[in-house]
Amino acid sequence: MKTMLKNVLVVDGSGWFPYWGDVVFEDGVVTYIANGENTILDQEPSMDEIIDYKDGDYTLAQGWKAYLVPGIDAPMDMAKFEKQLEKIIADEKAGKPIEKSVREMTGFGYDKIEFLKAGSPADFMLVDRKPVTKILAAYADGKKIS
Amino acid sequence: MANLKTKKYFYTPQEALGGRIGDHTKHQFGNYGTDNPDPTVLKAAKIPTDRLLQKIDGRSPDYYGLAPVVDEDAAKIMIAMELRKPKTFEEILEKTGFDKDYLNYKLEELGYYGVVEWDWENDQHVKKYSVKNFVPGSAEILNEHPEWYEDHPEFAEMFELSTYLPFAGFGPMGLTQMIPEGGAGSGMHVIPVEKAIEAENKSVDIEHISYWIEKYDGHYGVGPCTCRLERAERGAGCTDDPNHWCISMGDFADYCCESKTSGSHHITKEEVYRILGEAEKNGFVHQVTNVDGKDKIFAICNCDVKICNAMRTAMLFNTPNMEASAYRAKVDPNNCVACGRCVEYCPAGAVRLGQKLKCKDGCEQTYDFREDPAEHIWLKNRWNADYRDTNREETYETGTAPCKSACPAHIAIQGYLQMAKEGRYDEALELIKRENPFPAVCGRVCNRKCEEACTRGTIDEAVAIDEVKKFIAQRDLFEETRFIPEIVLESNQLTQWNEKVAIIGAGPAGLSAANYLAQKGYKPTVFEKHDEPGGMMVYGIPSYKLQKDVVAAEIDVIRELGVEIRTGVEVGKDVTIQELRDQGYKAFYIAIGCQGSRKAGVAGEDAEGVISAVDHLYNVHAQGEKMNVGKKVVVVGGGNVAVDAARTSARLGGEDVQMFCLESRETMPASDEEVEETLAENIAINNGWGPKEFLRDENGKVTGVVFKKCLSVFDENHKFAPKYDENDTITVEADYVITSIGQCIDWGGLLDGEDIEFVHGNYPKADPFTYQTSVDDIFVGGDVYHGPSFVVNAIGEGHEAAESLHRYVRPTCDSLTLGREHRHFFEFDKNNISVDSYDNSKRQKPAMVTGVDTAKTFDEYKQCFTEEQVKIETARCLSCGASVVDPVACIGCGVCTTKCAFDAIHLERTHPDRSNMATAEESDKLILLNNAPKRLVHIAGQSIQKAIKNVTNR
Repeated sequence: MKTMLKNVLVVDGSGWFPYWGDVVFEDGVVTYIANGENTILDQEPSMDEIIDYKDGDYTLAQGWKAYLVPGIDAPMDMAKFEKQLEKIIADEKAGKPIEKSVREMTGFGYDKIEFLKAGSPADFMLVDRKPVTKILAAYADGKKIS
Repeated sequence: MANLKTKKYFYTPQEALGGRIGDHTKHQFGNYGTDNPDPTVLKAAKIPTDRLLQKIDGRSPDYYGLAPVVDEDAAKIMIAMELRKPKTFEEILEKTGFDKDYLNYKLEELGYYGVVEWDWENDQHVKKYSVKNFVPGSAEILNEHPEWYEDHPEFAEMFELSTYLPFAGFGPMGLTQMIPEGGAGSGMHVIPVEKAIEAENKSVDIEHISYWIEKYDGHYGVGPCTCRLERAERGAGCTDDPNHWCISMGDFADYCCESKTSGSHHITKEEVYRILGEAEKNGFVHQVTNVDGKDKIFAICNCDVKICNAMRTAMLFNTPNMEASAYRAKVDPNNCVACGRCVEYCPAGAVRLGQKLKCKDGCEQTYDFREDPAEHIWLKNRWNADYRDTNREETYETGTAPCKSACPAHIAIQGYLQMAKEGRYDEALELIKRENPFPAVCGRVCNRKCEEACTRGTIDEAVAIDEVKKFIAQRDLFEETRFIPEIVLESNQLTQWNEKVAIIGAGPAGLSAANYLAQKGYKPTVFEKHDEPGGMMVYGIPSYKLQKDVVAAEIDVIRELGVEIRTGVEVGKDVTIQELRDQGYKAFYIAIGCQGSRKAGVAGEDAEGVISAVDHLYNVHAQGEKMNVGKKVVVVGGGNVAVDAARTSARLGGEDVQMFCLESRETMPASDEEVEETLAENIAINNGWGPKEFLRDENGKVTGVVFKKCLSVFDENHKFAPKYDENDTITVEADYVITSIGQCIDWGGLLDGEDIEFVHGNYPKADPFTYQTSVDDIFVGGDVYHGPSFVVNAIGEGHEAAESLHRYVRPTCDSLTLGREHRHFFEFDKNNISVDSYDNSKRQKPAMVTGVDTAKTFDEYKQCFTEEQVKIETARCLSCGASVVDPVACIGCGVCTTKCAFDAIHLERTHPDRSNMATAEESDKLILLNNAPKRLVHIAGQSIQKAIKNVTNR
């Protein structure tokens, strides 16, 4: 099963700004992350499932309707994801952007904990944005759990 | 061109960057930055900038663009690294004293934001980090992420100002005019289309794109275009797909693809060439970076002048010196036929249409070219903030070929005549179809404004343009010879745009719009309430003029482009506009024509046997030759539609067919040719009569018409206000009466619930250039916009509407007009030309089909020209117009050469010094110490010479 989550805003835990792109995973493992629009257009026909998180009617700065947040405590389950969500919501209300919030959850960035890259387990949740209120979907080892 | 001297003396950045002032509500400058900047970050912000002698503080874009991504530690690293001085990790570690892992992380972070880049371009081939300039450099990388704009719109503004402020300088004088040929390492540089200089044996390696591609073999990446993204974010974007245009080269490509910094990914050499080819199809300009000296570039851009910040430096400051390549375009007037393709695509507005014919005094026409900044004191009053619009003016003030100017669709008539003369019929058809998807239809029914205007008509008779078009367009009727236009998207990775567009009405305007939308990459849907598409071409024009299979064949071509035509669907009845919106349609083009008929408003008009011409012609199409009109037919009206009604009645068995109209023979609206043919078919035309009463028998069936003498048709203000002598009447017997006294719009329920404004009764109010109505997503065109007109007018309007619809639905485009072709062609003064010699053949006439009664047949009886006639007729063309290059404005991109089908425009290597490449470090010296004094001395010397000359001449 090859799944592509298209046009998500990836918050990779580094604390850097979220970036927009596509995440592909297969057999529970992330196989490809692309930043930008339609960068793996030619590979799309090979996907079993494509879920597009971009609204049709959009301006450039809007339209991506989901953050992809890595799960930080494998093995992940729904309760752990919900706990992460609670912190994100609380932080956002306090004026803290999601990238900083996730950075705090994951620990210090580069070369210590690098969550989302090709080869990492497909443990992540997708949450809505502006404001963050709910989990849209959650995956543990590539399996959808919500 | 516009007289720049009449412009404002100074432009604010807002005005200069905004193009048309006030055109973009979104294009406001934000209140970014702080009065209390972090001193370390502020110090770091002064490193990447190249603004000479300008104050940088917490409110400067240099600061507020950098501050979100550079904290105090990152700033310290930047300060330690200095500008463009590559250092190893160890060297930076030693200078900063940071923890190794921490420094590594911060460098990665700075790399991610584009502030720091790395490469291996040193003798030891070790990884070295360096702080880049804002432009080209970090300001662009920060703008490769449109997702960041929501929280950081200041990135877009910072990039925009970074490309403007260094050149705008301060005070009334900018800096760009001082930049020497070659650009002095100050940014980007045009590199010509490779094919345009292949034959130039004086060219040097670095002028060839292939040289750079080979040099960086295996190290190519492609990513989003930051100019396209940034301009879109700031409300001045264009319709292009912003992705996949900017090709990174060498180590920069590896940096872009290996860091997470952008949407870049590695591509093959073949892909590089494919992208360049797609760019050339769209008329985008290739540019290379020009900040690293003689033998290094790091990117090839494919730039659209509507949004390109680099090209803007040349256009806005009116100083092509800093961008232009070593080449200039030159037109060979012997080959040029003023088709206008080069004009349409020239990004700099350097090629415009002029004339080939000499003036009466025997001299060549002269043109108002732009002034050369190297020759004049160049203050801000000479800038051109409206360059995106003024560059799109197609015609020099002295005018061009009358045929193209007069044609409502502005077809390249001189061009296709030349192609036909050379036997290049397929290409001729292609050229016509750039402006007209119905050449076979128009070859039969056009009102021939081109021939009215034809210069040859001032000598003997106009060239039989339409007959030649008909001959060429015969190829469109057969599957094996017809021409299917190419679909060209402003994207090199998508195969179509997903935005849905609905066109309501499958007449010539609607189908023309659909055709050109399809060519742009849409799959529009046309809704037509009748059973057949074609509108008046099918239901209004009799088949002896236009056979229905001709219309059907040309509609087939449009279908083949991907247009879906849904017949038997009446929008407003079967489905509403709002329901279509709910189905995802983003824009609507209403082109339903004028299907209703005006009433005469006299007694007995509702008698059986009295019918409007529109309904009559519809019935003729529906019922065919079986239709019964009786023997005595009266037609009320004197226009072309009345003529059609009369002539079809005669073919349906009418033995005594008479027309009555208010106007005199000379002023009646029907064309002279139509009147002649009508009279030849023994149909009487009675001028100067208006209907007083329709007579009917006891069963309510019409028996005749009483006419009253018309004394005058218009009042002193030329308003329609007929005056009659009520006592001077005649009574005419009739079995069947057709009224053809005007058409009107039958809206049905189409606009129910839509807040459309109307003018002149129930005509929709719309912008005359964009055709947008008071409801933003509804556009109109064709007869429904201005009343009954001709097929070719509708076709031209449909073409323009396609551009408006395209701009409207593309989310990156905010303006329906910015940088849009004006489509304003006007003819030269025919009283001030001299024609030295010409082919003295007489105008050819098409043969008639023999053995048929032309007055009775419903078959087309006019034959096509023979090929021999085409040769004779096309040789009669005086070839009036030609493209003319403004040598100052030309930037030597070669785009024009790729569009010319006549081998008439070429690049010449006239400015070899413009291939001089320099480093950014050399820039100040080359500009201020080297070129500026030389330039001033030159201008002063010229002024002195001029003064001496003036004194001597006194």
